[in-house]
Parts: sequence; structure tokens; C-alpha cells
Amino acid sequence: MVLVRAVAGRVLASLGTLLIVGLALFVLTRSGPSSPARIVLGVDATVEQIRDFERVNGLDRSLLAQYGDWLAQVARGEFGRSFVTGRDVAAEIVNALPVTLSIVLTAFAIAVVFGGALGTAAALRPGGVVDRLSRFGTVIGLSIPAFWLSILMIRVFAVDLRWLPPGGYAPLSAGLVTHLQFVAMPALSLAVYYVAVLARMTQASLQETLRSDHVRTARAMGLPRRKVVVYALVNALPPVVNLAALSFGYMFGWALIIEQVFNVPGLSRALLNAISQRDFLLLQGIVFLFTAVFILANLSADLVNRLLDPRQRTAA
Amino acid sequence: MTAPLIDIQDLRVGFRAGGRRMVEAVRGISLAVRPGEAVGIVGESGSGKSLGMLAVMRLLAGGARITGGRILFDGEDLAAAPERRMAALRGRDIAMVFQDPQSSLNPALSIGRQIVDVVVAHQAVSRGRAAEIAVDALERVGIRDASARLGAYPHEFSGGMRQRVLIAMAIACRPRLLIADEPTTALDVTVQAQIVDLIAELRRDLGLAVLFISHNLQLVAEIVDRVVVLYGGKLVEDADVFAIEDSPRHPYTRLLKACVPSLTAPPGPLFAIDGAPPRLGAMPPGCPFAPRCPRALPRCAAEMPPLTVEDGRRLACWNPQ
Repeated sequence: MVLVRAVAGRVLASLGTLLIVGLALFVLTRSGPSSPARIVLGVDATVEQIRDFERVNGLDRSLLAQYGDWLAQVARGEFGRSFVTGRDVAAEIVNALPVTLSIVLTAFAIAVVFGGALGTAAALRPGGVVDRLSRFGTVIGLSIPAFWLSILMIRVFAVDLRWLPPGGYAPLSAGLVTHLQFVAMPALSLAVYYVAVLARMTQASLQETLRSDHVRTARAMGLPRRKVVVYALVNALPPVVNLAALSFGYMFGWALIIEQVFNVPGLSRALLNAISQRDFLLLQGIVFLFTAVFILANLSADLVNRLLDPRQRTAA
Repeated sequence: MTAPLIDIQDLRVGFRAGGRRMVEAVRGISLAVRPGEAVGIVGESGSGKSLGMLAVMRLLAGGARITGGRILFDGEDLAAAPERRMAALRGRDIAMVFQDPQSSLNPALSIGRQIVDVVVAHQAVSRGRAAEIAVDALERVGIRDASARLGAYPHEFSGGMRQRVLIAMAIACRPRLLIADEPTTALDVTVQAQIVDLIAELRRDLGLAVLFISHNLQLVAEIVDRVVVLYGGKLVEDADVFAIEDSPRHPYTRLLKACVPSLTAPPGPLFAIDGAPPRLGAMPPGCPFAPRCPRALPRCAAEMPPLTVEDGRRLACWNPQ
């Protein structure tokens, strides 16, 4: 019961965030100097033609009224029909989303598994080989720009070694191996930074836990080392979970650049098109989706941490 | 005289202080405890009392390590025992409770689970049977309705209750030696007395030997048979508790006794010993207390007095009272 109430509270707060982000987004997209009518109809269009276009598409109404309409639509699960391409925005997003999601999820899995493992191994032997290697490696991982790493990887693995395709995309329906061949390089170049970030956080948090009084108690009572370490990991996890959730959100942002480098037909192509064509509805839909992903990721982190730390359960 | 349960011989603990230089914080302490005996270890911060006992448990951290001496427990030298052997002894034969009960329990695990873990680590019993042992231990330390509280988490207990839980964890496997490192320092005064009474009671009922570390001579005196006074990593006086109370001979012991405010004496300014304990790495060649000692002779600063034994009292002083 307490859990249900706490979750409900978080969801409500998240909805509030979505509303505010939605409004900011709405105002910002519409504050640009040129009207989409100009772009759709071309430079030769008359003032009347533009006025007609704006009236038909509801662009002549007040911002608030437009926002209200849009919210009502979103609440019904519709994102409208692009007045530039005439295509359904939701369908457009559903087309592009699996591509981006596939890359981001793969990168996230790499980041969590390798970042966690590296940080743990480094924390268990301070000053050891893994610790020193990881300290050196994470600095490099944190400093390499992902797009540059992408270009380097294309050069090495696609051009020189010819192991992987230099770009493009094949869906999972084309076979797992083919799919992974296309996803591997984008996901890896996206993941490197976050492997380093999560390794650092895991190491710092676990090292601090291992120095804590209750770990000393566990050792003073003769608990086997394996158990001491497993419990310490549970204690050390909450900040790592929070950072992983944030990283998941940021990865969507970085994926846009990576997708451009690898010429992947994901959300970035749709988003860039929407921006250059003043396709407000598509733009709103995509950014709204990013916001929702961010909020959902953080909400999941809170829930996971409630499971890990009983103090958060009763404090709710 | 029965054979000692633990016989610490010339124990030395050092830190690495920049490069190869070692700084000694425990400088050759010898101390034997018989089965069932309670010994108080008293001294200021930095006297080496906690560090010495952590060394006995082989739980030294932060670059400290045993640099010399032997720790004979039942004739076995713990200073040379492998870590696996120590893990088996800890909690089963020697247990330790620490100063801060707020942070000494794992906040993520129920207290039942934490005690059961200790029991199954040392005894070949099922977790169900171990839970019964845990309930037993909790009831013994005065936690009522223990079986209903097994699932409770540390943050649901007060500081004093947490210290009881930690003591229950320590005695669950019936160790022969309990090391208590200032177990009452972080607690309210009324709770302090309860915990001290509890340790005295457990010692009587279970036949535990107790090493009780404290900076409070009066508190320790209530439950121990013998008091060992440490200063600057050296043992300066060791005598029967009544002898320490009535006729302390080392000037430091006398001053330490004067530091505890009395309820019966007329109110006045609190007494404090002038000066500060010597810094690690800057130990004077002679008696470490000489710079603060009101009875210091010229020779005190130059030469460390030997530990003499007289009428069961050990004393290291050139000019005792």
C-alpha cells in the first residue's frame, strides 16, 4: 500500500514535469522567425496563401489555445499529422524509434555491465593492476569525443579490416547477427564514455562502503569475504543506479550525433528534418518522447533504490 | 593460575608514513587475559588502545600493520595466522563490538538476517535453526519480543538498542573473548549504564573474557577485574581494579582518575591534564608522558623506564607515587 502511494506520487510529479517541459517546448518551437508556411509553400507564395495555410493548420490561433489542443491530442495518444509532410507524427516516431532504441539499449547494456565490473574489480584491489588500468582507461574514455571515436572505428573496422559495415542499419528482422553488425560500432562508440563514468562511480561508491563501520562489523563477526563483498555492493549501488538512469537519458541525446556519423535512419534523421522544415508537430513529438524517457528512467531508478535501501521505504 | 586465554606479547603496530619510514603507534605492549576475566584498557585518544585491539582482531586498515610481537590465543599466534583462519575465529571465538552503533549495522539488511549470517558462517545449522539462535541471543541482551523483531531494519532501533543488537550478534556463537571498543561512548548516559550492566551480566552468565576499551576510568572500573593504562603506545600501569582506584602509582593514572568529575565532590572547574599526547613519529626518547608529567625528573625525558612487577602490579615509571 505504501509502495502504491509512493509510486502514484512519483508518477503525478512526473506528469507535472512533462506538462511544464511541454509548454516550454511549445513556446520555443514557435518563437522562431520563419513560419512553416514559408517553407512548405516556398518563397513565391503570396501573403494570402500563407494566411490560408496558417488558418487551415490552426497556426493563427493564440499559443495557449494551440498548446491546449496539442495537450488534448497527446492525452489521447495522438501527436497529430505533420502539416509539412502530411504524415502521421506518431507513425513517423514509431518507425524511427526502434532504430535509436536498439543502439541506445545495446550501449546501455555495455555501459552497465563493463562499467560495473570494472569499477567493482578496481575497488576490491585498490592500487592493484585493475585499479591502475581503470584509472588510466577511464580518463581516456571520458576525454574521447564519441563522434571522433566513431570515425576512428569506421576507419579501422570498416575500411581497413572490413569486419563491419561502415554505416546504415538492418532491423532485428534481418537476423540477429546482421542486426548486431550494424549496431555494434554505433553502440560501442556511444557506450565508451558511460563505461568510464559508471566505472568511476561504482569504484568510488564501493570503496567508500568497504571502509564503512558496518563492513568492519561484518568482518569482525567472521562473515566470509564473498558475502561481505556482495552486501557491500548492494549498499554501494544506489548512487550508481541514479547515475545509470541519468546516463540512459543522456544517451538518447548523444545517439543523435552518432546516428548522423553512421548514417542510421533513427530519430536523429527525423529530428533534424523536423527542425530544418519547421515541422513543429514532429519536433514536439520527438522532444516530448525524449523527456518522457528521461523521466521514466529516473522514476525506475527511484523504484530500484527503494528496493535496495529499506530506509527509503519507510521514509516515503 | 590458569593458562591465559589470550597472551599478547610485545605487540607493535606501525603505519607507513611517507616512503619507507614506519611510525609506531603501539610500541611493545604485553597483556594476558585469563578465561572469564574482564580487563579494562584505558587511555586517551592516540594511546594505541583501539589500534592494539584491532590488531588482535587483525582488522587493521588504512596502512596500519603489525610490525612485531605475538598474539597467542589458546596458544595459537594470531599475528601470523592466515586470513582464512582469522575469519573462522572472528565471531566464533573472539568477537568485537565497536563505538558507533549508528553506523555499525548494515542499513540494507534486517537485523535477523545479519545475526543469522553470523551464525551460519560459524555453525553447520540451517537458517531456520540459526534464526532460533538469533532470537535467543536477542532475548539475552534484553530485546523483548525478539522473534517479531527479526525482520526489523537497523534504522527502526534507537542507538542503545542497536548496540544491544550488535552485542547479540557478537555473543550469538558463544565466543570466549569479547572485545568492546568504547561501546558506550556514542550513547546517552543512562543508556551507557545499561550497556555496561549488560556486558557485566553476559560475562557472568556466559563466562566470557572481556577486554573493555574506554577513556573513562570510572566507567570501566565498574565491571572489570583489572585495569591496564596505556599512554603513547606504551603500557604504563597495570593493576587490580581496586589498586588502580585506591592507590594509582603512575602519575598519569592519578591524573586520569582526577579527570572524571565526581558526584560527591563540591562543584568546581573540571580537571584536565595540561598539554596534549605526543604525536606519532615525534615520540620522546624517554617516558612519553614526561613532557606533561608533574613529577617528571630529568632522567624521565631521556630514558624510558622499564616495566617493573611488584605485588601483581606492573608499572613503568622512574618516580612513582
